[in-house]
Formats: sequence, C-alpha cells, structure tokens
Amino acid sequence: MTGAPKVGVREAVAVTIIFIIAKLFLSYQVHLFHFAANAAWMVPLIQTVLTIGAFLVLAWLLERHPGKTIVEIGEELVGPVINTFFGIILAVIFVGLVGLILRQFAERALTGFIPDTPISAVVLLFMTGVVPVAYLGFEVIARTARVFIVFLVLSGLTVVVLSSPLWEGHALYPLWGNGPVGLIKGSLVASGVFMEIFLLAVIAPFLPRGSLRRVGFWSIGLSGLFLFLGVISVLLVFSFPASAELAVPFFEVTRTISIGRFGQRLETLFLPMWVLISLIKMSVGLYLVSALMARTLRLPYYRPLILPMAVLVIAVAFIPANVSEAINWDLNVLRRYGYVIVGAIVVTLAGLTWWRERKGDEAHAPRT
Amino acid sequence: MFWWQSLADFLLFKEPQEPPTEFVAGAEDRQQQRQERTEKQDQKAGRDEVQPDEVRPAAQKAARDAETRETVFEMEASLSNDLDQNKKVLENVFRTDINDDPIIRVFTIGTDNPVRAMLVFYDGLSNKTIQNFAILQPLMLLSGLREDDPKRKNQTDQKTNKKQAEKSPKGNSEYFDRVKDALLPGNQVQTVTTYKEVAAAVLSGDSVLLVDGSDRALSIETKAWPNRGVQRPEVESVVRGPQEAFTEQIRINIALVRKIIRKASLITEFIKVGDMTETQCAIMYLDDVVNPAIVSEVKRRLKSIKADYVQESGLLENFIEDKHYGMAPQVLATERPDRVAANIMEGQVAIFVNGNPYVMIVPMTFFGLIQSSEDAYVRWPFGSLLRLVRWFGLGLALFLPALYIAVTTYHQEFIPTDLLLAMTGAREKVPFPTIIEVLLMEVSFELIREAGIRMPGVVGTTLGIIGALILGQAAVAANIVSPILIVIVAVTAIGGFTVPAYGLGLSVRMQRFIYILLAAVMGLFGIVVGIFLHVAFLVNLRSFGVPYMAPVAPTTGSSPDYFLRGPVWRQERRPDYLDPLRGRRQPRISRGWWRMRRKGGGGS
Repeated sequence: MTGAPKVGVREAVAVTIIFIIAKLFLSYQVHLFHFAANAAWMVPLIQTVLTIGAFLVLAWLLERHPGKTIVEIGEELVGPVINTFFGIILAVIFVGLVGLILRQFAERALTGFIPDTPISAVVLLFMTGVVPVAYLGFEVIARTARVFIVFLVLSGLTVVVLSSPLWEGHALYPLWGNGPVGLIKGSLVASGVFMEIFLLAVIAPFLPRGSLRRVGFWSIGLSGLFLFLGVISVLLVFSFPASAELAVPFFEVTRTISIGRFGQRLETLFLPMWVLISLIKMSVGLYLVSALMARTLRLPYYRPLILPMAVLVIAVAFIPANVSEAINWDLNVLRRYGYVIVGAIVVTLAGLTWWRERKGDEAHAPRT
Repeated sequence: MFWWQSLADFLLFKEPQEPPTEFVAGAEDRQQQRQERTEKQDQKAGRDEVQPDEVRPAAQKAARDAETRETVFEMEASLSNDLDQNKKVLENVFRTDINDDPIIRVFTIGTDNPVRAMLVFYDGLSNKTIQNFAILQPLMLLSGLREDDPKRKNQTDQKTNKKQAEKSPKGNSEYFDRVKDALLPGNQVQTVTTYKEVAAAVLSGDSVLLVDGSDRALSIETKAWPNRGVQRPEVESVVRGPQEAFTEQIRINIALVRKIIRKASLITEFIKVGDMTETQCAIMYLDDVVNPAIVSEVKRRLKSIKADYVQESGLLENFIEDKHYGMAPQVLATERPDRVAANIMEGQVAIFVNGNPYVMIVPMTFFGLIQSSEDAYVRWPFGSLLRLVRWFGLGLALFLPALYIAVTTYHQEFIPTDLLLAMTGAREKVPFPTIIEVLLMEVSFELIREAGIRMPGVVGTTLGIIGALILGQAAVAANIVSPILIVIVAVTAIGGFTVPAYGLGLSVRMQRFIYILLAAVMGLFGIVVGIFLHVAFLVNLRSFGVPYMAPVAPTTGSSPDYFLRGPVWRQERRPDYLDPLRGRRQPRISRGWWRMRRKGGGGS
C-alpha cells in the first residue's frame, strides 16, 4: 500500500452504501419478487436485520485485531499457507462479482441508452473510468463517493417521488406474499445481497479509531432503507406478477414517469445516476480485489495489480453467453454460495480468536 | 543558392555550404553593435580611434573586469576601508564606462574634520528631493551645526582619520556611526558591508553612502520607482464593496491590506526569489490565527526556487503549485485587497510579488474559487442566490455544448416532440454533423475572445461587429450552423463569464472541449465517465497539503459558506481543513443586542 489512506466516517458510509445498493439498478428486485411475491418489500428489511447480526461478528473480529485487515488477521490466526488459500478464494469471489456486475451494467447501458454501440466499447469506456480511480486509491474512491452520494440519493428519491402518481395500494396485498415461512427462507437464501459489507474487513484500518461499528450500522441501515424504497416503488407501480417480468425494474419505473406533455421519456435524465453508481461500485470492487491480492501475496503496493485485475474482471464479464446468464451467475450462484464461504471464513477467524482469548485467559488465570 | 539545392541538401543530410542569409545579417548586426560599443568606450577614454594593437589589451581588461565582478558577487567580498578602492570596484560592478544610469557622487562631509564620502544610486529609481535635502544637504552643509564628539576635536584633518582607520581593524568606525546616528535624517537607514549588498540596495532604488576610512556603508531609503496609483479593480469588480485594487508596487499592496487588518499580529516577511534578478516577494499572515505548518511550507517552497527570473505571480504560481499537470488552479490570484484580508483572517497566507497587481492566496480550495467578495457584502439570501447563479453558470460553461451534442446525437427520445421537430427543421439545411457544427462555433468564439483581449482598444468595436455578424447572422444565413447552436454557444459563453476566478475560467474553457469530444464519442454516457474522472482527480488534488475539495470531500467542519452563503452571524468557525490556531471566528451568539432585546422584552 502506498501510505495509509485516511477515510472519514461519512466517506466510508457513502462508499459502503453505494457498493451495496448498486444492484438496485440492475435485476435485484426481480429476484426478490420470484420468491416473496407481494411481500418482496419486506425482504430488504429482514436482510438488514440479518446483516447487522453478521456484521457484529465481523466487527468483533476486527476490533480484536486493531489496525489489521481480514487478511493479516487470517495470517496471524491460521498461518500463511491456509491464509493464502483464504485470500485467493475471497479475491476470486469478488473478481467474479465485479465482472458480472460490469457485464450487467454494460448490457443495460447498451440496451437502454446506446443501442448501436458494441459491448466491448462500452466495457472499455467503463474500465477507462474505473481503472485510474482505483489506481488513485481508496481515499480518492471514498471521497468521490462522498461527493456524488448527495446527487445519487436525490436522483433516486426523485424517481420514487415522481412515480408516486402511478402507485397502486392493492399491490401490497396479499401482505405476506407466499407466506411467512417462504419469506424468511427466501430472505436467508438471498442474504448475499449484503455481501459487500465485507468491504469493511479490508478498509477497517483506514477508518477513524473506534468508528467501525458506527460506519457499519449506518451503512447497513441506510442501504436497507434504500433497497426497501427501490423494491416497494417497483411493486407499487407494476404490482406482482408483472414486476417479476421486468428486466431492469428501476429503469422501467423511470420510463413511466411523465410530467405533463413536455416531460416524457425522462430516463435519460437519470442516466448519470446509473453510470455513476456503477463506476463507483466497480472502482471499489477493483480496488478491493487488488488490495486483497496484494495483502495475501504480501506485496507492499496494490497498484501494480490494478491492471491485471482489470483484465481478469473484463475476462469474467465476457464469460456468460448473455445477460440472463450473467444475472443467474450473480444472484443464484455467486451470491448464494459466495456469502456462505465469506461468512464461513469470518466465523472461523472469529472462533479462533475467541478460542485463543479463552485459552490465554485460562493460562493467565490465578491457580487456586 | 536555389531552393531546390537547399531541399536536395536537406534530403541528403548535407551540411549547408554557407550559413543562411538571416544568420549572416544577424551576425553583421551584432558585429556592428560590438564595434559601436568599443568606439563608445574609446571615446570615454579619450581616444579617437581604436588601434589594432590595443584590441587585445582591451579584451584582457574586459576579462579581468568580468572576473572581478564574479569574485565580488560570488565570494560576497567585503567593502574596503579605502574609498577610492570601493569606487573602482563599484564602477566595475555597475559598468559605468558603458552604463549611464548609475551615478557615483563623490563629496566631502562638512564636519570640522572633513571626510570624503561617496553616494551611489541609480538615476530614475531614486528620489532626488530626498537625496538633496535629507542626505547631501545635512552631510555637506549642516553637519557642522552639531557639536562634534570631544574625541574628534583632537583629530586635525582627513589624513589623521585615515591613519586611525589603518590602525583600527574596524576602520573609521566611530565617525561612521556618528554619520549614521546624528547626521542622516533619513527614515530608513541600514548598514551594509559587502559589494553585493550595495549593488542590491542601489538596484532597489536606495542610495548608498560610503565614507572614506570605513568598511561599512549606509543604505538609505530613497526609492521612487515610477508606478501607477491605486485604481478600481478591472477583473473582480463589485457593485457593493470597496473599489480599490492592487498596484504594481509591493509596498503599496501590503499597505492596502494592512489598512484593513490593523493588528500587530499581521506579519509580513520578505523573501527574494530568483537568481539572476531577485524578485521581491512577501508573504503575509496572521501570526495568531494561521497554522504554522502552512507558513513554513509556503516559505520552504519560495526559498527553494532556483530560477533566473520570476517576475510575475503567474510564473511563481507555476513554481509553487502541488500538481503541475492538472487543469485546476491551486492558488487564487486576486486584485482585491479586501479579499486578501478576508482570506488572511480565515487563516490563509497571501503571497505578494513586486511589480504585480495580483496577490496569490494559499491554500485554496475549489469552493473558494467560486466565491466572490460581493457574496458577503450583500444580505445572505442574495449572496446565496448570486452563488447559485454562478454554480449554474459554471455548469453551463462546462457541459452545455457537450449535452447538446449528446442529446441530439444519441438521446433524441429525451427531447419533447415539438422541440425535436423545431430543432430538426432548423438543422435541415446544415450539411455538417453536430460535432463539427459545435466545434466550428466554439473555436470561432475562442478566436474572437482571444483577439478581443489582444486587439488595440481603438479597433475593439470593429471586432464586436465582425464577431456578431459572423457568429450571429452570416453563419446561419450560409447554412453553416443552425440558429439553435448560436443560442447554445452564446449561453455557454455567458455562463463562462460568471466564473469569478480567471484561472478557473481558463480551465473550464479547456475542459469544455474534452467533454465535447466525450459526448461525440459516447453521448451522455461518455460525459458521465468524464465527470467521474474529473471529480476523482479533483479530490486527489491538494493545495499546500489541504485537500482541494474540502470541506465536502473529506467532510470537515466549516461555517455555512462553501456551496451557498449562510448568514454572517452563523459564520462562527474558521474552516477546519486549514487547522487554524483559533478555530472560532465569533462567539455562538454574535449579535449581543438580540439577546439583550429578548431579555428586555421578556421583562417588560
């Protein structure tokens, strides 16, 4: 790493929120409508609670090892060999995640705004924006996110408010959708949507001392709120089951907005929101995988890894034959099993820390 | 030589047989100048014509003189006790044989024991009245009016003085001190000891007095450079507020700020910058407010500059800015003393450059560059409105042509049908694609703007007529551009003029073309990628260690005065990003009368 970046609480919250909620602008809602039907709006709220629980474990682990990232903690607890294995698994999961997100955003940009452009040109332009910013470091990414978050939140809320004339209250019923059991089961299976909170395990040393929990709670809470708004606005406008047939639900909501005769087809107005959120998301992702790999391989700088990782991300983006396959890989494979693996690594390290502490306490305990 | 021969030589990499004509002519000119100069020297020496045999000794003498000068300056040689020796060296230093500006006036100080002295100054740089009435008259005519030192009564003549000087290692020290303390009524008198200091003082417009028998000299303040007076600001004019602007005189500029901030803790430190000709610079700050780390960083950067000639604040800006390849200005150059004073009060440092009517303020943030003095001088809602208008203008200047290209080329569905039909109708006869049309007009406008600045004032109106005709009427009539584009270019230009900082305005002009190209390549998508990179580069920037996008990124504490202008009674804190020694500008309740009235009202 080049020096130690310093990231304030607000910047960290901004960047984590954007990293988590960017999927709202892709096909995330469709996934929820499929297993929760009319009760899909409850899923983000349940997932928020579940994620707070998972985050408490992560925070406990990180606070026991101040100034260290998850990779360095792993090295201390399980040794370099197993930790390298852990690090590579984590990097592979996140390279896959960023690559699939890149593919989905590029496809959406293509179909929505620039239909005659080759997808390789769109991907290249995306990466032209992403690579320099990831190269500049996490401090720059977080501050850039801080600058844009006000604009992004205002744009998103504008979409929600402007779509309100089309809301139909009956779309919320039946209230429990496919039933409470199915709802909770679905929420558990799809909890991978909050997998990006793992970012905090890498950036924890850059945060102000003692602010990790504050950053985590604010990020998860606000992300849950925005995801909830993103799901409920789609549900209220299109209702179930029509909402489950949409390719990019939030984009379709923007297309329905009309303000008199003059304000039609306003989706272009919200294009900056789409592009900016995806650029920030991918910059964070590219930085995250480069930093993970650099720390795993015990390299002093992450910067030489940015370009190779960018090439890997682009390669992953082109593996799925089409966008539907990319969505399937993202939501049904990588997130469903990926978050289990990430969670297992965190829980293992937390368990080892707890066991060590207990052992240490016993060793230091006065003998009677 | 014919042109085809030159071409053939060039293609065959042949060396030219004879030097190009221009070089020969140049050489002749230089030869003639040299000859004239030699003749002038000879005439001064009383010779009518130069003998060939004498050329070699003259060249040797010139080489010796040059060597002496180098020794005097590089070794910083000390002054001699002998007035004649000093005169000889100074004549050599100032090249009095060929240079008519330096004056060396030898005279006798009219004390009971007359002593020879010498006044050295540059004609035109110094004040004759001060020299005549505050230096020469007291020394030559009035010096006998005071009772002499009893010790000196015993000294009979100048020779005695000289003998004593030879005995004493300090020379005629007591006499020199007496001249300094009792005979010179000048307001600023400084002792100098080397030839280099003498030369620097004389070149600054001071007069230097050398006394026979002393190895010290007195530099007397007699500066009288020609300069213009304090006038109205030309670039940063305001409707309400002070109407004074800086001039080219550093002392006047410092006084203009000191007139506003009357505090003993307002410090001015002079720093000379440049090797060949030292430019007088000064930094100004409030000792009890500014962060000392910023001051030492400013001083460190200024003192480290190695350059022949840094005569302008713009050149100095190039030397001291943090990032050289970015387009954003990292210092604020202002011609308004009130703005400098306000920034110094915030905890920033002002850098003055002599001979320049612009004062630089560091560290500077992006939000500081959008502000104008007038925002604070009107009531806060109107100040905020002015600032909003400026932000809007900045946005138009940067993005409007690019947005026009993006929407008309890639996102036509965004344009309402009626407007789309009108635009299509207007563009129907234009043969060029939108990007060519926009570039044509933007480049034309840039040409007119540049020509407008360089053109002599008397023909300025002609340019206006030509510009209006070309841009406004003829281009549309000739179907080169559509009328709607004229509106776009005009509104963009007006938006650009609302940017208060000239440096930022230039950067906006340049970046506009980048956005135009991005829009042409990828539409709105390309523009947004450009904005993302632009903002990332801005947040990565620092001005003297202070983040350029503070207080937004990173988020730091600040009074409500960066995006919009808040009420003056809420401007309680100085910006956190400057880390000033005094964070609080005014107490939480700054309007004492309000509290008193409420108390009084409650009691009645």
